[in-house]
Amino acid sequence: MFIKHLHLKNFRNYENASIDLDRGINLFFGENGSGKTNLLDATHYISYGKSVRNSPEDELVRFSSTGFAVSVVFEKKGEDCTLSVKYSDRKKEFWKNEMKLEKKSDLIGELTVIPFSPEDADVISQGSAQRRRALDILLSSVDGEYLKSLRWYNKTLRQRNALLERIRNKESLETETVHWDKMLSLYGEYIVHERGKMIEILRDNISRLAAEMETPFENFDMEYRPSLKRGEIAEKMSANLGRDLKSLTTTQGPHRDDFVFYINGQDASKFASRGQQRLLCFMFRLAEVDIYRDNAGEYPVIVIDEAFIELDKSTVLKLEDKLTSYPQVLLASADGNVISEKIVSAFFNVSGGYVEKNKKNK
Amino acid sequence: MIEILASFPGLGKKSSRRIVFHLLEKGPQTAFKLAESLKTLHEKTYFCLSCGSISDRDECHICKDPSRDKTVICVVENFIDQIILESTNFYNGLYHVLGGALSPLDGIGPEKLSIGKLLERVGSGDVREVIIATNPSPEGNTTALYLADLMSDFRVTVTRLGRGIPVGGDIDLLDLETIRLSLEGRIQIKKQVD
Repeated sequence: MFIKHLHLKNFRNYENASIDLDRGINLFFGENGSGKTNLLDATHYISYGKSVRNSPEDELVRFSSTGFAVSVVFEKKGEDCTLSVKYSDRKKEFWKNEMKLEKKSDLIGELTVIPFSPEDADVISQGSAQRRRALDILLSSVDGEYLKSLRWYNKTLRQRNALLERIRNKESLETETVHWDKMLSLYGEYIVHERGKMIEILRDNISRLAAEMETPFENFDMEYRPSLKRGEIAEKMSANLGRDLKSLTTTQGPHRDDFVFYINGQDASKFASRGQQRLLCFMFRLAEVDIYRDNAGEYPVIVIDEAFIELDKSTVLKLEDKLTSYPQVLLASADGNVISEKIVSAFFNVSGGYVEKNKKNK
Repeated sequence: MIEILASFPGLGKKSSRRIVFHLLEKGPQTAFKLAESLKTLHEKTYFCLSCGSISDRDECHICKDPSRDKTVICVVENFIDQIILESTNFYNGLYHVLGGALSPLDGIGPEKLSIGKLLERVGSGDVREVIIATNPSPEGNTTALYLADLMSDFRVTVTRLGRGIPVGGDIDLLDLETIRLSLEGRIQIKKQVD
């Protein structure tokens, strides 16, 4: 799918902006603070009903205005579709082709944009919570049952932890954990199964992309490290009761899962250079894009905010080739020469809330 | 008074304000009537000694009704769930109101629910089937599991409410989980499609 037209009214630093986008790579360049990120954020808002950083709506309203409106025309499976959102008097309304949508969830799935940002590298360099989060977001968006199992697992986990405290305060009996453990394992088994399958798919996708793009990764591998293996969750949870009561928390389970990236047999979080980590994260995101494509039957719109930082020129050249193969990429950078001019379909000069479209880089 | 009302389920500040202004506009008569009924609410309301449901005497009209099937008990979380099941006019067995679902976060363990009484009823001999109609939530499911385990000591069939496609619902509008469950619980077409 690709976005044909984007219109912003009183959104962040835009008073009124009407932008025609092209297929292929659309490059937005301008100084820091000129509004590039805000523009990309508008596409996120219209896709998911929230901004990338989940800011409250009042923070999205342009200074001295009372509301904002964003609308987008995009082509999906050969058909034009219009989505718009209006926010005023603390109320939001979503519209699809002049028809009002009842819930925010009706909006989600119409237009899919996948935001890439410099923070993506956290998936490798930061803790297991960031990795689980990335995996959970991906799985939840392609599998509704996963989302429900995850929510219910988390709720059941909170119940179990509350029960541990009650047992320590002698308000409940140890035997009461049995049924919570059974429910945790019911939801948990499904989560672990799906995570395991997804890691396999991601590994295959990244390996394929690495070969295609001739990246200098030798022997790339990914390993899922579940805290508890499939089939043993219920049993291990009960066995952990003594330890869990001491720490007043559920010490093992899918909420402690992790996965590792390997390059040349070594853990990439410890041994890969910052540049290699960035590239690997980029590939991880592209692998996700393929999964969205397989799921929806069509590529999503790729939205990249300054994600080329810390990549060397030869790596950027390899990524350029790959990026031209997607229906549409929106790319924001403070540097108008971040990628080769010849592969860019449209340049947009962004400054102080104004956007000027050029066929050439000026 | 607005604040008290706003703390009730289903009421917010706006609707509470409307109620208070309504009472003021209607004059003292309406307010007195309401106050009288509130005063006697607890005095005149009883909980059925058998099923735990709300009643105007010690035994509720369902438990007392000789035409009801006394071999089936439907276990619900609360009184409202019972009213809704009853309003279908389809179920002819008895009920048992648990008074909630297991939820350590809210300080609710088995001792806070009417479980001992339920076991007493099931153990009394006449009961063949126990239908567990707790909500399909983590808490309702855990409660169902807990009850099913307790029931395994008795010679009763334990069932759970079926989950599936709502009547009048369009398949394309349903969530996948519901469709999956209704496929699992599909039934053979006999005389009628419905």
